[in-house]
Amino acid sequence: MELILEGTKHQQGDETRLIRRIAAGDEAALRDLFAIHGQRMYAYALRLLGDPAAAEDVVQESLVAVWQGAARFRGDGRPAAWLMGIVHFKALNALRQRPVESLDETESEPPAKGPLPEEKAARREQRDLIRQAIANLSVDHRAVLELVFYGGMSLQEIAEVIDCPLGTVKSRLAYARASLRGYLERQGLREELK
Amino acid sequence: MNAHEQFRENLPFYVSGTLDEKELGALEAHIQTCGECQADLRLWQNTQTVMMQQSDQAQISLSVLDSAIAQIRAEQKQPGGLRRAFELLLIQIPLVRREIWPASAIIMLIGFAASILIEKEFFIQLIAPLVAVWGISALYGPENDPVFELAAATPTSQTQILLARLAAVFSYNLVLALAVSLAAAPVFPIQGLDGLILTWLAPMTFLTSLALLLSLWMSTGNAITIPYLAWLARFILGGLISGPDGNPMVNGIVFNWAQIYVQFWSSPLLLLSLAAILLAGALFSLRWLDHRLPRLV
Repeated sequence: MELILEGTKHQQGDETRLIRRIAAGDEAALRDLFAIHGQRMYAYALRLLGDPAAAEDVVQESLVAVWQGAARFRGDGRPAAWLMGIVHFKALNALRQRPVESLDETESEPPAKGPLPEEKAARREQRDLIRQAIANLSVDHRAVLELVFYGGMSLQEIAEVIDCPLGTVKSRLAYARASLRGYLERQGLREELK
Repeated sequence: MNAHEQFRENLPFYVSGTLDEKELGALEAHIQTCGECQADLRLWQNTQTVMMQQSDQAQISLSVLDSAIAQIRAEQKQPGGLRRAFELLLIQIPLVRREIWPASAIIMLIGFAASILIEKEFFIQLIAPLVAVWGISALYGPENDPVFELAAATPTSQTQILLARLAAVFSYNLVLALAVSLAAAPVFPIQGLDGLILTWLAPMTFLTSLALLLSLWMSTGNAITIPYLAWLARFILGGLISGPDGNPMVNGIVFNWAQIYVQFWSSPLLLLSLAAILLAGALFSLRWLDHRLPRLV
């Protein structure tokens, strides 16, 4: 565990140095930052917007904002949280300008390996239901789930990214849990959860 | 909140691996004994699996980075703030009504000539603010700008356009009034140049700010008439309280109010402060007017 923490601190230091280099006008540093976080930024924007082209626009705008605002990064928190905060607000701005469509409907799951066909079918059905349940959540609740599970952020970091009190993040998680459970129960998946 | 609820709140972070070691042990021990938390744990684990799969499937194109860098480079090539402001000023000057420039100069010259002829600085004091008010009232809006709709549809904010025009016209009138005062100063040695400028500078600034605000929210006609009446009233009331032979022509409450009104125009600090407030109000109110305008981009 200590090794992991050390590794995280080391990575955090490297990323902070990258942001300092960006602030000094180093384009290569921006490329490096994109190599580390570009995929995550895109996935988050896509989760919120549900539109690949709009999500790419948001990432582009966020990179420009990172370039312009790198000098203001204080280095108090994780660079990833600062970065996702920028993506979060750019995505929300984009959302305000157009109606939301979810990607989830059109996505297909890649073929799984291993289990028997019946198990595979059951698992796929379960995940399809969870996918639908997630898609039914509001943008705010999906954003929190994305930051927890894909962003790998702590409660404190999520509160910073979405600029809300800790209690709001907790209540959104509680709501998301109740909502997911409710949806799965209505679809007869109660037993899967027990 | 009881311990179970606390553990329950931590479950998503347990699944994502962001829980610290202290909380980890206690939570794992609780999960062993709590069926509800076990069910929640499975729910969050499934949720994480689905989210990870979905997010990993979405692959970002490298062209996004290239586009961002191209945008950054393009923005860096743009001129600095001061140069942009200067360029905007140069663009806006030809868009101000052309007759303002010669007409202001001619009226100011007439005021200067009248002051010299009758050897009273009164005309310079009277005319400088009136000329400025007229110029500022005709700065903005479809009544005054033949390309107003087009200008309103450009990305340049209406505040910047208005500020550029205001700076151009007000500076021009200021230079005219200063030149006239400079030329007239030798004729009025008692007043001196400083005294001469003080008689018109603060009222002119206040009245132009008032005219600007009125021109945005009312018509150009009102923006000229109201400040003109306010300024002329100062001279009429001044005449009433001093009287032709030194005896006031009014008394009682009318005299007191007239005196306060005349004193108001002789308080440069108050006038300049009010001018700043009116200008800020005019620029701020432009936001609402701006929303009502068409936008191309």
